[in-house]
Amino acid sequence: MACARHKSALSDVAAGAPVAAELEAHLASCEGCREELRSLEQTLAVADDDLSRLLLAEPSPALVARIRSAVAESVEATPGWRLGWGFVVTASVAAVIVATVLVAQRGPRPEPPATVADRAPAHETPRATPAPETVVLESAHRSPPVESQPRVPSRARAQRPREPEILVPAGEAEGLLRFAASLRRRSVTPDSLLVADLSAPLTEPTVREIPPLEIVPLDPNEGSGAE
Amino acid sequence: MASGFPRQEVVLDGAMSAGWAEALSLDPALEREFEARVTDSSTLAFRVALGVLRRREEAEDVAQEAFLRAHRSFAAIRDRDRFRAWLVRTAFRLALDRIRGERRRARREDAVALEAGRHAGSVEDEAARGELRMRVAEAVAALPEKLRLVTVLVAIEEQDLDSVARLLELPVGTVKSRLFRARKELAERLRWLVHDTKAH
Repeated sequence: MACARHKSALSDVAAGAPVAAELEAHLASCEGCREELRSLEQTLAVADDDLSRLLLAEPSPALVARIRSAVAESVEATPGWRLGWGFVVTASVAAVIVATVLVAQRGPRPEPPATVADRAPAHETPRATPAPETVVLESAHRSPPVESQPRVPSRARAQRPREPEILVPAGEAEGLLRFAASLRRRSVTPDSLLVADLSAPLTEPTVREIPPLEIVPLDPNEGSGAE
Repeated sequence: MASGFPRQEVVLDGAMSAGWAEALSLDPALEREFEARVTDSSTLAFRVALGVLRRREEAEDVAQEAFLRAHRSFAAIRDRDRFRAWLVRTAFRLALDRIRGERRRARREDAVALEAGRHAGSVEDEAARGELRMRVAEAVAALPEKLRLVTVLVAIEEQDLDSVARLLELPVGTVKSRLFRARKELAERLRWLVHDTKAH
């Protein structure tokens, strides 16, 4: 009964595990288990011996030359294969370009009503005017155009609120989108545009008094009565 | 060092010819490195394949095929350690594929015994030992692939577990763990053999 309980432990010990105290006590009193452990160790030694013969095995001296020769033949046979695939790849690329041109010639896509997934700083908020258009610049926080920021885990990204909708005067949406695109291309950098301290609270604009122009009627006699 | 591999060039008409020729030429520096790898690692590939196949000729075939594949993607695996790790995996996989591809068990059994045993003894002892070796080889072949590869590499690398870890691009602890599991499984598989041998 006790021997059956230690059967698995005997394999562990034969495989190299340390002998637990309980097993050691059992082995001290059980000749059968001692014998089995000895046999297992001998068998594994035979396995080790068999595998160690692999160390003695050397390839034939011709193997290196054989490999060189096979590689050389393979290289000589390669150009046609590579050229063939090259033409396939070139033809595929050409087909994609033609398809793109054809699609583009059908005319501009209808502008999506409100959402444009382009990059622009979120603080670029044009004034609201009557009959505004709504533009959502939702990817500004995803990849800022100028400064690289540490990657945000996708879960955290998903939890972020959408960027606020930006109201722009009617007819100016395209201009804003072009501006966002130029930021994305980095042809324009915010540094060159933003000079104000954006963290400071907005102040009320000062009203400047502009006096009306004084209109003095022309004197018809002026310049003719000097004589 | 002169390169042993021919530099390939392609002549095309037209403006693209220069670009194509450049694209299809082998980099001489890569050629030299590859040749050094062949000299340096062909025995390793051969032994890994031999550990699976146990037939010298087929092991050499596998080593050759592994190097052919390595040549095709050498630019990506030119680093020595990376190359050897790649080569070990490829040779092992090719050898396994070859074993699986052939269904002639008799041929395999004929080739199991590698060389004469080291231990001198009676004819009966030698016969029993030969039988034992055959069973051991079968038990090793029956191990799961990961355990089998570790077992073969530990023998090839003379029990140097650090070296095996580099070849497998694994932590040493993982190699130790796999080796232990392999040996335990071998012991379990061979347990019946021990009893059988004692019965004789």
